[in-house]
Amino acid sequence: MEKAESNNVEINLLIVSYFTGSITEDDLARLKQWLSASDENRRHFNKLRDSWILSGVNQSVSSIQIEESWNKFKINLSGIPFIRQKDEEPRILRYLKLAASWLLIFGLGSALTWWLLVRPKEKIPAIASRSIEVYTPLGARSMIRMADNTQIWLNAGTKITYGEDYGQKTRSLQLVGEAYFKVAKDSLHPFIVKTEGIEVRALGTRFNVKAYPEEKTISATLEEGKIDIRTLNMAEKDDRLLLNPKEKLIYHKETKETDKYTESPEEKILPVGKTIKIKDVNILSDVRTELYTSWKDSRWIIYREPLSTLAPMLERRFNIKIFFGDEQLKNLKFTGIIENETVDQILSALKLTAPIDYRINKDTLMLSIDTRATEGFKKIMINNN
Amino acid sequence: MNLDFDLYWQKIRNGDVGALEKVYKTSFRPLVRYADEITGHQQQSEEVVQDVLLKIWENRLEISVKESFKSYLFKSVHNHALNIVRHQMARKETVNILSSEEALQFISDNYENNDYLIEKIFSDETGEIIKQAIDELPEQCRRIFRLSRFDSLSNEEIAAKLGLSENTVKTHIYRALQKITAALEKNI
Repeated sequence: MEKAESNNVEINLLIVSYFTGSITEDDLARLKQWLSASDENRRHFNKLRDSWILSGVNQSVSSIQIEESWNKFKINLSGIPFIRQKDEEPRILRYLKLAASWLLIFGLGSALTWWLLVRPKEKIPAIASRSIEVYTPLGARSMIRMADNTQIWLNAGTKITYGEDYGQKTRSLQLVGEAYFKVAKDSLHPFIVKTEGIEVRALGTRFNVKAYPEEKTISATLEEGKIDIRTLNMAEKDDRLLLNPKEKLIYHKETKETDKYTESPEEKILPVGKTIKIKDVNILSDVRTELYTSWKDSRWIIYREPLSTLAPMLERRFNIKIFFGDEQLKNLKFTGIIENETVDQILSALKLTAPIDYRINKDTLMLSIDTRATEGFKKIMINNN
Repeated sequence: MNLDFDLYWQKIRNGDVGALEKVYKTSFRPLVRYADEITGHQQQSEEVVQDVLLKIWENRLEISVKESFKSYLFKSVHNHALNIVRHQMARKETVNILSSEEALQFISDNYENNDYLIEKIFSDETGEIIKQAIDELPEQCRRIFRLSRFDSLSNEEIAAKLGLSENTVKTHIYRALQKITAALEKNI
């Protein structure tokens, strides 16, 4: 640097002229030329420039009255919900209002989504002291938008819990039930969904997680991007399974041994490339993701779904209880698209495709084999088994 | 204690006005002074910074901050200030150090993506380091640098005031900058 200096007394004076605003057009052109001549020149210039800027920017004397300036400025913020750190209770109320303004309810007409706020919960130690709970009752679905712009669709009977510190280090939440996530990109703050059996981590992507407590499996289906998953039974803390788009991971909560697990029939008929088995986990490739994510849309696609697994979905969606008069019925598979149909309409449609009879009594639905129709459906029944 | 800007950005995203207040109070002065380097007009610079902070607050859910929040703030102010000056130049309203498009282009080319500068601007210690470095300058040098930097006198005015040549004035300013640079580098 010393050498560059002595050789460039003239240039240094040009640089000072530039800083002090007295440089001529011609001299500026010369300075530019000198700068483009070498990286060393540029570095030399940059150092002096930083010092010049900083000596002005970070001077201790100031005519700016910061309190006054802020007080004037904050008037511009009116009309925007205020959340302050100090006043604890009102803050929560504001949170509620803020959250409620983002809450869109769809699904069945009068269905409501309930918001509950809870005091510190022992059950979920992973989440900070105060947590916020979003609950969608049976018979309804809802969508929420988080502060980071992540959108979450909640299926019927689903609860999501997150701490007030959501977004500070991570964007972490607890899921019971089924939800579809459209995660806003933010590589600094991983988005983490915790369930009773698996933990899904994403940075910015779209995926579905199904983790109803009453079901034997937990599944995660990736539509776009990348997610990684850690299951409870993984030995190493850092072990993670990477899921690619169109893959679906199924975690078996109870069997704990993959050998005992037989793939459910509907997955076999899919254009499956491979099934990888890792402990209690199956990964299916090339799945039709819309089969697992369309519950949130106006067109819910059902494809060769056995009644055994379709029934719980219908139960939650319509808040009804379904009973089987005959175990054999559980193996019947159905395909179709449900738009705005009522339970009655859906069953009428089912009746056309299978020897099924049903009785609705308030909120219960009894399914039985239609003995008069079995003859005509014999083939189907056999094929299905 | 230096403010953790990225943490505060997350709070701002969550709608925390308290966090915005903290960021405002910590960064308003340096940002205004930085904008001043471009606009040469303090009141205008204050408006530039307020515009930027207000936009950030209003669009906090839509904004994606890819680098650090500090850089985002700095670059937003930098660009906004440049745009204002461009605008005024087009209407021939301004007379400041950047009186040509050439000079404006020069500042655009050289001031962006400077992580060192951004870190230092937002650091609480920078002011003290610089103050000390200036205090330690030889008397004549210190006097000239203060007249130039803080009283905004032109080289010509300083030269006339002290009975020196303009080149001598510039040489003193250059030496002061060298000392300040050394002091800042020592404190990385």
